[in-house]
Amino acid sequence: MTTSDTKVLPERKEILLDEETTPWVVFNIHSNFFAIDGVLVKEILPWIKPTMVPGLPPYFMGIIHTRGQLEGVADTAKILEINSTDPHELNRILMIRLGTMACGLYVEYVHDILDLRAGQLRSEVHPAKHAEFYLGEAEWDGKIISLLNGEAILEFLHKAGHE
Amino acid sequence: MNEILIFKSHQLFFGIFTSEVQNISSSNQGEVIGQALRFSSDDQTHHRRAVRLKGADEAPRTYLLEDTIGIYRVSDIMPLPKVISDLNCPVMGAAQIDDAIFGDSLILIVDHQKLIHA
Repeated sequence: MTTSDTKVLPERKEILLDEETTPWVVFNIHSNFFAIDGVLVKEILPWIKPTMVPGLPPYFMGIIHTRGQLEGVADTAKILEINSTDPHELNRILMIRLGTMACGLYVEYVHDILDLRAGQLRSEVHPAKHAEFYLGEAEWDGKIISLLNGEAILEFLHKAGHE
Repeated sequence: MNEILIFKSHQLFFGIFTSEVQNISSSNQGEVIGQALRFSSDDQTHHRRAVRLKGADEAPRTYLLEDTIGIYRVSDIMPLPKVISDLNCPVMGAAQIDDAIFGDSLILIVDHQKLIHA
């Protein structure tokens, strides 16, 4: 190695992790911005039109075939009872899974993966309906986003069959 | 390999195992399949075939199919995901068939027992 090959490394900086961060997947539905715990999100799929299955509650869109198996897809807007837009090819399906519970959530656009520290979460949130599906609020890109309780949504979808 | 009778209802493809079919006729007597599958309404003018399904412990039932496609063999029937199968819908799984008629569409396999008890 010649002296010309020698590169000076930047000064090493120590990164202090005072609080653990959690990834949150930021998305919107119509004019509302949300985030869901990224640990639950196993895949972000491009929009695939679900095949409707007769006899399902209205918040289910049907089933899709992905990686050799069938997955259920629910309309997040209908679960939260908020305004939605008609699906198109730029929309996404968030595959969320916790233990044996799994379902796809149809969302409009996915914007970001946001790392949030516990101190950045605000517990106050005032949804018109279904407070159990909300964990709190946070700020992203100058907007207030609602943090969704993915576990509660999965439990709601799985309990639908036992009512 | 499973043999299924495929028909169309409400723009969706459905399959019934031929092993469950007792006979197919042009009779107009029977329960409209779309209603048995729990679709909200049906247009009676489109019925073409009456399919009589065997009943294990029940009397055979006759269903009127709107648009019969044909009999196909499928090797792989994928089970419904748990979140859907728990809902007691009259479908037990789905298959895909490499045929231009179906494209990428899933063929929903009718659960005969849930259809009878719906």
